[in-house]
Amino acid sequence: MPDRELASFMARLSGAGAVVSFVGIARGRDKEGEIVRGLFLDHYPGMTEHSLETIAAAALDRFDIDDALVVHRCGAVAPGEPIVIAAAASAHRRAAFEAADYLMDRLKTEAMFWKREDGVDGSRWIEPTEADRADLARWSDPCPE
Amino acid sequence: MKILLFGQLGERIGREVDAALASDGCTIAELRHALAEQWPAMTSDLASGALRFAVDQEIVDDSFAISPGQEVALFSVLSGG
Repeated sequence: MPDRELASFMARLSGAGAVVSFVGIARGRDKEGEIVRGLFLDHYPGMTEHSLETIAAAALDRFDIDDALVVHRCGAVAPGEPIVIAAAASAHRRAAFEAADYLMDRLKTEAMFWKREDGVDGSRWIEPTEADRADLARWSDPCPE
Repeated sequence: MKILLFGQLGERIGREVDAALASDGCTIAELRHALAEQWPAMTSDLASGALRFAVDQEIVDDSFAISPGQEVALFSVLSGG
């Protein structure tokens, strides 16, 4: 549960002045407004965890943050259930806000999952949207000195 | 040689397939060819360039030589989280 993950994350911090967290929730409607009965997230044990660790490590490198948290569900996820929590802790709020934003933008396209949306009339495997790719591209500029 | 499949490919073809290949290993290009011959349903996926191979959990290209005993996986475009 995200509240427990966040509590555990905050308990391990020392000296941070800000924590920003994001919880993603499985939606009950698809982009066309059709009912979604559930999601299924396929993953490759080992490689998927490594992809999440790589993204968290990149946030730690890029921003002035003390710690980062990424926890992602796999398998069956019902509408309304949390699917991901990402959080960042820093001395001051700006870095934590930016790092949490960055974590989610990278997770949306680079986390190693294959996601199937199960609807009333069948299922479909989904890929990152153009909007997801545009969100990721925001971070492609070199880091400011 | 056992190949792990994920996502849509795993659902359509099977989570694990056993490709008939020389026991002393092969390249990814040779594996790609063998898979297309054994599973015609994968031919268009294999030709599309959208599939990725991983060996021992690292993404590799067509020239990579697989040794016996290595873990080989094949998957389509990631959905992301």
